[in-house]
Amino acid sequence: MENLKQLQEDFQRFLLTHDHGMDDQVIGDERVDARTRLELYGDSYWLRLMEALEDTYPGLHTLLGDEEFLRAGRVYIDAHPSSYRSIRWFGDRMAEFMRDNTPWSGETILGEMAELEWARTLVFDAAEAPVVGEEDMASVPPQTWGELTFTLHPSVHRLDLEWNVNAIRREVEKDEEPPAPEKGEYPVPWLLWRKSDYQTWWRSMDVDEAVAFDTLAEGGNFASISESILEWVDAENAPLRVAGMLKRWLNDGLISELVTSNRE
Amino acid sequence: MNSTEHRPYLGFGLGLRPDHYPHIIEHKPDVDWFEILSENYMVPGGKPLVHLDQIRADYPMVMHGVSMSIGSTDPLDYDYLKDLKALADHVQPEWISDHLCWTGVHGTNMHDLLPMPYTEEAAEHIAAKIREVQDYLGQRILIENVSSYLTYKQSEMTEWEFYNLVIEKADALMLLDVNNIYVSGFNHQFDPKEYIDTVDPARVWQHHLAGHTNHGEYIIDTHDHPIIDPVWELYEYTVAKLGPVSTMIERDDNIPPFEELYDELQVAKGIAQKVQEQAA
Repeated sequence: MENLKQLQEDFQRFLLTHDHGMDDQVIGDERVDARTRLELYGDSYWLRLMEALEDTYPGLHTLLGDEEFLRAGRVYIDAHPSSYRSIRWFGDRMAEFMRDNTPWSGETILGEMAELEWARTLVFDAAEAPVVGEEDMASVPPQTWGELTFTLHPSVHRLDLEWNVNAIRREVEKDEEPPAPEKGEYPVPWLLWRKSDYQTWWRSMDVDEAVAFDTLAEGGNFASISESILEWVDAENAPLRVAGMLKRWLNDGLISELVTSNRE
Repeated sequence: MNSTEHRPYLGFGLGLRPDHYPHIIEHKPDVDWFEILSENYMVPGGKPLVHLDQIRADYPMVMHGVSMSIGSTDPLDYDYLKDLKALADHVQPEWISDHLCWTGVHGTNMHDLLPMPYTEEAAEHIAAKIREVQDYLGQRILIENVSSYLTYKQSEMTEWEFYNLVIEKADALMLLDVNNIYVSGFNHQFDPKEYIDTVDPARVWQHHLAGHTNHGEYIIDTHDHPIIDPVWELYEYTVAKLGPVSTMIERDDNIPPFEELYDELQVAKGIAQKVQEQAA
């Protein structure tokens, strides 16, 4: 198997680096020489991965423009070759790549847009799970609410965004002129999830709701969620405020399971 | 294995593509079966799987993969095979197929169907891996010939000698892509009919048909155009040679309205009927 192993290693290295290690292993003819034949594969490798990035990151593409998106794509493809069975997963490290590499790291909106766009793909094909509603909550005896914990729907993602990337992305999707990039004074907490009609939804949250939600997501029970917002609400009113938030989360389809402490 | 008596026959199908989900679900068109791209449904959940289930309820399906990398010198990816098997358990396809190719080494996926060198060594290697996959899946699989744009110096035989040798050694089945034979015939200047003449009809369970892009000096297998007349003629020759084989059209880019592909499928049907009438 040594010949085959060597040939595959040489061919893959050519695809990744465009070196000349394969040139004398391929037969050319008067119509198409060996190098051109190899380059058909080399070009197709790069185009296919570039197309995958374009599909996943149209908002980033819009922010960077055609030329710079191609340049960034080429560097990304060189830095992070795919190890995925499906090309759908290629591009998973784009947000980190934008944040860690010059010149893109200087524009923090780029990393944010990539983070948002990757999260959208994860929402799209996240695992199925049931959702519980207000009526399920009503069946839990109020005296046990304090110990109640919650399982989020697998499609739920939480992001903190400083830039108006959601607004830009929405217009890009509609093929409309996007608004100019705008940075807020503080990061805005956002939720993204998939509703039972399989549409992707997203909405922003006030900071107290975000703190409460993050406490819930970390496994906090109703009592600890109520404690988490004492900076904004007094202890007497906190449970009521959390009950209001919970009602909305349930109606939004964010919760998959209510876990009572006496659960077997 | 020369008799086609036990070869299953599904009729005329199309590749299932997301653009056509709403049309198929609403109109339930008169198509005999659909081929799905396995990797598109090896996801945790969401809309693609919901549509798959809806359409599967009304149509037979076959599963066609692009990432088994059966010719790679890497060991088989059992995580991939496990998920493939789970999808097959769910879909209950008529059969499962992948390609006579490799897609990468050292765990990297080039996302391309890279050609094998046509050597005894490579044939032994790939046949052993096909047998391993068949043992794991508990069924024989179909292996498709790919379009290729280069010939390795180390090749010792023709593509069709290699393909036949691998399938025979592995006791596997063939997904014979008529367009790919045409494309490779043009790129490597061989007679596509000579290729078709050599295959064992009993091993050919499926045909692919597709369009391509002709760049003058070479052809690229792009699946983004209608099927051209010379490929239809080669299909006619193939049907006459191999008898009725389940046939479908692949379209992966520049995807037209469903009706357009449906009409193209009627051309394939008409050709097969004409050949059978002539033979009767």
